[in-house]
Amino acid sequence: MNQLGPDALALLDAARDAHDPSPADKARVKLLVAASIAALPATAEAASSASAPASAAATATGSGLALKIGAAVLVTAGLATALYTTRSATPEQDPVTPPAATAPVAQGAAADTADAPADVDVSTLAEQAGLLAQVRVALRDGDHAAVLTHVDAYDARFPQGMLREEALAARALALCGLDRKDEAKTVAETLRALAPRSVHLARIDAACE
Amino acid sequence: MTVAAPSSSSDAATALTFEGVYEEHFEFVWRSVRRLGIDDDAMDDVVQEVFLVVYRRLADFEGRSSVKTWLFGIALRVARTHRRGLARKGGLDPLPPQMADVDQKGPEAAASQNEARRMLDRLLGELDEDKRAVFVLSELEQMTAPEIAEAIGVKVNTVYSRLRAARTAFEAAVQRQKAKEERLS
Repeated sequence: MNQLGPDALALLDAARDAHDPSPADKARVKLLVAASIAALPATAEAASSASAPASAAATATGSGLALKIGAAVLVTAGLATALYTTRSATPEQDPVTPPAATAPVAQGAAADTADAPADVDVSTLAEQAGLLAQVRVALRDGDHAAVLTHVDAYDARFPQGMLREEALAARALALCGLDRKDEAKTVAETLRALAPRSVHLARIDAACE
Repeated sequence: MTVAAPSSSSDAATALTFEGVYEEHFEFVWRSVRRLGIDDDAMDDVVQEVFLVVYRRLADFEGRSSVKTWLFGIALRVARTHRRGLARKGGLDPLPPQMADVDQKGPEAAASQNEARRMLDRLLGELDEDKRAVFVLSELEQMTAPEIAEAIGVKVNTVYSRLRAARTAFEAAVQRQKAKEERLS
């Protein structure tokens, strides 16, 4: 098989890692995915109640996600705005109406139409996202005690949950807000051990200064 | 959501969870989507959609292929749908590759990774979708031909023929770029 020349190989070597995401990319998309999954049960019901065939149901589900975003989704996606410095969000932006949390779903749903499942599995991620939505609301309101209560509930239910990084960050921020800085630093160290490149660490450090 | 892989699969000892797939393979999905020609502005949307498909389909994953090849197949379909949607809206770059904006710097002068990335993106853009997918998986992800065949759902011989054509086209694009650089210098 014909091989590439030295110029092409040099370019490929130079750019091989250039498309890798940042930790912030990974964390931001994780919350967006969680927010969208949180909306799946209601839309799945809507699709199935219409007695649509499987492929149409999947399309309807996707479209429904774009059109029927409930409050839980918005506040969960808002967590991304609350906890992350996103590419488009600013600190002044209303955290309840985050950017880009809803747009992709309907667009991409068609890609899944050809082999769409007949039903939508409701994983724990939707519940995790719901609990973190409560955390986000409490953070937004500056109710640090409530943040700790909700994070306790999350940790008890999902000690190894996918959103544990965000839960730890929220706990640390709340402890900082309550001026319990030693505890906050302990939590921050736990977060650092879990996710050494977490985008939340700098914000926690700043909040606890 | 925990999905136990079937005993006949290579993942038999592994219980796949959505969370685990996300944590382990996010980087692969992201860069695959990017290399399939999705613009920065659409990356969050498309990658999010890929994982929503994964979420819906994980229970059906039978372990006959590797997780990575399965994920790439999903990424390929989602990216294709996104691009078609853009084309319908008139948002896709209307210029043929040869007329696209030419970076003044060639491969040798592309010292920084960002410059190299921009050039690579442009050169990959000169490949059609089929060749591009094979080229990315072979030359950047170092997958074998059988793995690529699984990922994109074609025969191994088709992978070889596409890869041969893709390498020829990519090499020609690099040489064109180099010639332009030399004319400008």
